[in-house]
Amino acid sequence: MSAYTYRVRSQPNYPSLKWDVSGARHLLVILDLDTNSIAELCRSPCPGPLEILVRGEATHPALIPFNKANILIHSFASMDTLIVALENALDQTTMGLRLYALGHEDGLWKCNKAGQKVGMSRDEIQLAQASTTGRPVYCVHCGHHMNLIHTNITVCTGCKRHLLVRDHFSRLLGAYMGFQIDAESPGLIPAVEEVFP
Amino acid sequence: MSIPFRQETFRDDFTYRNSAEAVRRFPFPFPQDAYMYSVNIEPHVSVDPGSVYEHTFDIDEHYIAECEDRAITLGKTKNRFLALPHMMDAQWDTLELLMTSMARDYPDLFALSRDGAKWHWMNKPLNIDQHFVFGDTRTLPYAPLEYISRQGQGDFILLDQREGNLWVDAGVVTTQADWSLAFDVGMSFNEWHGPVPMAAEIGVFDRALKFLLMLQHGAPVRRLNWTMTINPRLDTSPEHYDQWGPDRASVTPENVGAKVHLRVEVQTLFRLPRSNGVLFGVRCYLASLNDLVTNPAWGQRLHRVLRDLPQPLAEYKGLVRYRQTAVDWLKQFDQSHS
Repeated sequence: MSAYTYRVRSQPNYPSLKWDVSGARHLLVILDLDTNSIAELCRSPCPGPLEILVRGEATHPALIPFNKANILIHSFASMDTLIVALENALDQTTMGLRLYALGHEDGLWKCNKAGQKVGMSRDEIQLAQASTTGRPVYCVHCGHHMNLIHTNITVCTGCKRHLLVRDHFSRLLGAYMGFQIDAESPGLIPAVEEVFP
Repeated sequence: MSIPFRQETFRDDFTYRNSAEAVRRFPFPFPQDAYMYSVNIEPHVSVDPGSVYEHTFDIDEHYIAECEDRAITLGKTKNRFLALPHMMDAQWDTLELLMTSMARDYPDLFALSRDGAKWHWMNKPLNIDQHFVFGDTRTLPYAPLEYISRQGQGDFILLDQREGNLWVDAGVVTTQADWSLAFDVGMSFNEWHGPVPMAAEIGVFDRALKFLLMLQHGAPVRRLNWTMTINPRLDTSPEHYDQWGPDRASVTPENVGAKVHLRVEVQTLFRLPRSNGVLFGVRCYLASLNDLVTNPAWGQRLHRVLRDLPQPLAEYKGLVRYRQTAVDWLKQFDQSHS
């Protein structure tokens, strides 16, 4: 196995969010409050009714562009409660909804999964990475999931192996593959570097 | 025609060996002295009696031992059989295709009789005598894809076709060259091949996908792929990389002929009639360098292919640690080398 010598095409690209004018209703999930991304999105007005789920305070300055009477903002203290609320919102929805998610990668793919579960297609969901490039990682040896991994090599919290974090990405698992870096020469661990700030 | 099935292992003591006949019919994959990716797809039609291309699913002397090795892998590790819920029709399609093909091509080994949905399957080499109702999963001991894959050689992957793409949505994968079904399940065609270097840049995957989306029922196709494996190990999965990774550091000039194996995949693709899915069969053949050099033309060609293989391909295929040792050893079989 190798990594990083060429681009792996399963690795997601995250363009910035843009209102989809073909949508009848819009649901924006803000996992991490990122002032610049929100300001950029709000350069044009949302083309239809908009509802926002945010992790953090609804009064955060980054949300000022949304301070309009007809926009519903729901605030959540944790990722878990936010995702549950998203699933509930999606359960009650009908055709024409567009889902947008902004934040760290692990959360983005949880939102994507919730959308796919109710039959939304890839082009009805937009994901944009913000605040960190810390990676969700799946250990291919023991199946353990880890989140917000910032280094090229990490120790699996499930099986304790030293894993190299590859660029190969599974949308279904919402994670990059990690595999044992010293399998061919036990104990030889390359330098650990922060590569996903 | 009866096949002398071998008693052998693909792990631990590695007693796997090829007979002279198995070497003779080995699908040597190089049509020229250099290798690069191409869309090397041809119709999967019966050619050359006795060859691996004679029958839809080739059964050879390793059949029983391979089925035993698969049973060990499926019993030991999770998620080597996976099927997303919408793949049930494709599972039954696959069971039907394998049973009808095997019974037709090897009537002395397999028999299938059908009375409407009531089917009776007999697999003599594995001593299986199964009555079941086609379409009723409760009448089989395993899900249909797992059931029939446990009686087949090579891996079986089911691709769903939708949104102008093919999706890896089910499979039994226990004889793979370092890819994980548990990780890749649910991927699109291009995501699945994401880690392969160089091929996308020359348009191989885009053209292959376009071609496969048009695949017709009754007109299967095949292609060859290859890598190398140390020891005759079928289960070179990422899950068990810690077990087979160290083997790569064990190759010496003394053992290279016996340890290093050319691993050739005869890949077949079938459109499935009910599900409109595609069955992707990946049949693995293993031959040691000692086996291969019994054919002088192969020894010479393999020397040149390995010597001149682009470095990114050597890295991707995991050959870097022992390539030079193999090239040095093979040189003696290439008398006209420059």
